[in-house]
Amino acid sequence: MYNQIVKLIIIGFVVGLATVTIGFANGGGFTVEELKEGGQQYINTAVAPSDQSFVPTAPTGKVADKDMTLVKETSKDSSQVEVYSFKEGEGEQKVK
Amino acid sequence: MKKDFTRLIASILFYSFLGLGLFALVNCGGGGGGGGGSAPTTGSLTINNGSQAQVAGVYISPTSTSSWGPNQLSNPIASGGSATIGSLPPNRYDARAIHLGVYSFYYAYLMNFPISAGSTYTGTIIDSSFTGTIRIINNSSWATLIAIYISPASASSWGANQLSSSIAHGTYRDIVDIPAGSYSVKGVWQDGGTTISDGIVVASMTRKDLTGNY
Repeated sequence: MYNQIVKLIIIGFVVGLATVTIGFANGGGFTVEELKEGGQQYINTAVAPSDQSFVPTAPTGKVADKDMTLVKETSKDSSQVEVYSFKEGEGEQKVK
Repeated sequence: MKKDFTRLIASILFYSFLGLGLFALVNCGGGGGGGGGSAPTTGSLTINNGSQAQVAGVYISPTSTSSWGPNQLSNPIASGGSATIGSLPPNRYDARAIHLGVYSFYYAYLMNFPISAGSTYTGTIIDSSFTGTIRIINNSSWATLIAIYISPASASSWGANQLSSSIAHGTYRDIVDIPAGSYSVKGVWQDGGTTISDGIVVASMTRKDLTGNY
């Protein structure tokens, strides 16, 4: 009787330890934050997408040039610009 | 006398018609369609920016090719503005527009549209035309994220690893060009542990930051 109680305690300890270990190894979920360009103003429902509308689409399989340089105007009168260089797969890097 | 007069009138009429004919021939460029030049051999694409975002670049290439080529814009297209890209030989084309936002950059696509000689095809960009971005932030103090899987909520498999290299602890990686929709995201840590979140909604021109604490 005493041995059975000891066995049950050991089994319970092993099962509990395994549960804790699995719980630690799997980190639950990500914490999520959303950053929307222009706050909430960029919600354009006035024009419904049509055959001639640009759309977000699944990857096209086409590759970009290795280095793309683009200009972003940071003022409405175009007096201030920022120049970005893009490398395929590496995202943007501000260069000026 | 009357015969001479008739001959004179006939001569005047003959040379007048001859002169008119030559004039018409020269001005029509050898018998064109009256437009003053040869028939057009190329077409063009006009892009109307109906979004509230500035379009920094546009890439156009034939649908059958595997690369986008160089940026076709000399200046960005402001909100409400437009740009025309001409001298496109007749073919079917794909176009990609890019917006450089504050948080990330976003793409919009117009795929497999026709260009014919002498005509202009018009495509419109709206706010919802653009893709979104997911930023994976590794907030662990010790562990490296070795793989990230992003799968549409409706899909039954995870698909390919989205990382070309691991994300070290304390750093982040942006995964761009994600169409708007609901996704499941799985991170795999260096010891095999996983972090999974379902129902991650990505919207146009939006960056979703996912922080993994491990």
